Amino acid sequence: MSPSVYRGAQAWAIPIVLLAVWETSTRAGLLDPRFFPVLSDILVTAVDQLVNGRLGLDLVLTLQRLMMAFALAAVLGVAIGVASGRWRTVELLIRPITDTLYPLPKIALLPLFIIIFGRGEGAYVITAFATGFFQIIISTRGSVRDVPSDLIEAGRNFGATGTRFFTRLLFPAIAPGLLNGLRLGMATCLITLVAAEFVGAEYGLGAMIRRAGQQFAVEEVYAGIVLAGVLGLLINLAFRLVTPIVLPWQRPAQRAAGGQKV
Amino acid sequence: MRRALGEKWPLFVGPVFILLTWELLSRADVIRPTFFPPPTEILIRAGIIFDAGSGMGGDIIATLLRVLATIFFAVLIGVALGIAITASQWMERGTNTVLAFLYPIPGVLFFPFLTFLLGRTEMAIILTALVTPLIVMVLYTVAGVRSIDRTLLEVADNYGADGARRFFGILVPGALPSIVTGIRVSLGFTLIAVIAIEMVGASNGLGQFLWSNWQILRVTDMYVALLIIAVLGLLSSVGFDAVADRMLPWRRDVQGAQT
Amino acid sequence: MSVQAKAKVRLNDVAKKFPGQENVTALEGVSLEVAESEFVSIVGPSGCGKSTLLRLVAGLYEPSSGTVEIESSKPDRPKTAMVFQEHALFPWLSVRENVMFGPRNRNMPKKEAAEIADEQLARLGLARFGDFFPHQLSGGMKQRVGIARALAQDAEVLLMDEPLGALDAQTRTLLQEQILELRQQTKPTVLYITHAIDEAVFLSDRIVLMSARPGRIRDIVQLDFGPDRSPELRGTSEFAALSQDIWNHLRDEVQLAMAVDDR
Repeated sequence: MSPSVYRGAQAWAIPIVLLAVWETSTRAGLLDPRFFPVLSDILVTAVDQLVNGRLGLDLVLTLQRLMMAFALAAVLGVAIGVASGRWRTVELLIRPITDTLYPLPKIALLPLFIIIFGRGEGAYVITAFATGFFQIIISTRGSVRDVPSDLIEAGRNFGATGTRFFTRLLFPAIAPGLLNGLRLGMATCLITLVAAEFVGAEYGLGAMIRRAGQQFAVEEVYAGIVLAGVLGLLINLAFRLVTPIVLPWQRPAQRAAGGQKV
Repeated sequence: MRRALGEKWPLFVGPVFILLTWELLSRADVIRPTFFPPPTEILIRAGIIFDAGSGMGGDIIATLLRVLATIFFAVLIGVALGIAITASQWMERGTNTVLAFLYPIPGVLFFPFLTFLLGRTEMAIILTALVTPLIVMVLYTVAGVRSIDRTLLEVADNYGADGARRFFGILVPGALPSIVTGIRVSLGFTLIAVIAIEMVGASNGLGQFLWSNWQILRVTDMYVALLIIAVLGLLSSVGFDAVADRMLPWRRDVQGAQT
Repeated sequence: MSVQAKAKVRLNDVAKKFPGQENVTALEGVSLEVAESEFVSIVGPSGCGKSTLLRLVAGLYEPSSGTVEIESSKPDRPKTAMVFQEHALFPWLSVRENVMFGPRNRNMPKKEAAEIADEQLARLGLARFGDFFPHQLSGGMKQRVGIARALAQDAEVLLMDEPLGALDAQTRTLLQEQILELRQQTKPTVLYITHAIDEAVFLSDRIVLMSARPGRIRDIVQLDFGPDRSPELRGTSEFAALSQDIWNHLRDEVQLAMAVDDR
């Protein structure tokens, strides 16, 4: 077996065994079917709800909110993160605000945002945005600070000044950290968004799970949770596919290390 | 590096500017004081924390206890599990796949399922809150064990450290910096999960206080709850760092890889 | 030699203090002239401000007092080009693009910059490696790229900050000879920082000895081997005697600096 096949086997052996145990034990009626539905039934339910039920609409809505929240968080977060990593005054200006709001559970701001933006899309998008925004500020700031000082000096000594400093030196230098920060930012956007939908929305993946829970539709609850997990995996996968295209100069090992960070 | 306070003036500009603008706009009725009461009024209203009649003291304690119980179990189970699975590559890689799938799922989504099983009990709340912090603790513990110098492990083997001695003498202290960082991250997730669960499914706690006061539009009380949650957030991050740095002065040197 | 030739670099009573950290004075009362095409090495214990001195000349730091002047021969010619100890190559650029970095920042057309880069890479024996990325090269090769990058600037003054400090002994010897060859071919004005006394003696016209805390010039040693010395110089008794002599000068300084570090 080649090393990569072996690694793949190691990565998937336990998950597959777990899934197989779930499937057979529920089919055999060893677990209470009211709480533990058959695995393949969950998948059938998921597909059926996606195609025929409301789940498709819920999913599209969640994805729309996610994209808006993430786009906003990425643009503003990177800009503020770079500025505060680069200039001490900016850093001191925003530090108390990021220190206070970064650890604040953004879900607690949902009521406030509903007051400000009404019960429409705005409140959910902004709640998700707030999570990713602070995450991206902090990781971008960290990447800027971590650029080796001799690289900055080399850039200046070889004439990368003014806007060139940013386009030809700083952004390429922070690109790996930036990408990792964006990945984390998008994942946290998704987590908060689905949680906010669960708590207060009428539509969306989270709202669907809440609804199904209230109706004791166990299979639909599971189907929703599985979809949430799949969305998270897709985000990671997307960034893993994009990274070698954006950063062709990175050593494969570095890339893997960047992708493994939790 | 110590700097004169004179150079740190921008630290105060942001908060002072925001609070002052808010205060003035609210007092001048530019923004509706029903929804955005002036900060001074919120601060005065914060006195209800100590008013037994409001019941808010009890809510704070309920949230605190839930957070502490969750983080306690997350650390206990997470560290043990994390170290155990490093014994086998099959276990470690396999668990990694499972956790990579579970990690981005908001823990609160497991609440309906756990209430099916356990009813609307404290147990259901804590188990729900436990999901994400537990995953975090396992991941950081594994990363911590992986960060231990291989030669150190070889030395331990060579000198016959095995069983409990290997566990408590080498693995736990070696992984400690990463574990401590994991606890900090877990605390953040615990607070999020507990507040979110309280908002939808608890009869007390800060999240419940926040949500119910918002629904009857007692907005000032909602802000008081937000203020306290923000303080808890600060304690879980900046406060935690201050304590951890004092207890493990070398933590900052080694944690780099995980942050 | 420095007396008759035109001064290219002139440091006039330069001091540098860093604020914060108990106001450390890195340099004090440093005056130095470097003539055109002269090769000047700076040697001293760690903490003597050698690197600070170089960064002042590079314009990366501003002096706290005193002046740093560099004579311009052409208006648009870069004043300095620096070679860094840890090479400081841009990991996201290919070897060729690294060397083109300076010319491109001066808006030189891409084709012309690439030609200059290839010429300098060939000079350092790296003609085949233009399309490689830095992480694919060995330490010695990376540092040669760093030197090529500096040469491509065709700057008034070449600044070298312990360029061979991170290399193994064989590579270091080989690169010393390559730098000597460069000296003979292009006659650059060089300020060269090193820990290694033998390296300084082998390459320089003058050696500046510095003392630590605050960094001051303690002594300047004139060497008369001329630019056309051969690598065999290393084996001569004259070379050994000179190196020993400079070490005797420096020993007390190094011990003093170590005592301060231990405190």
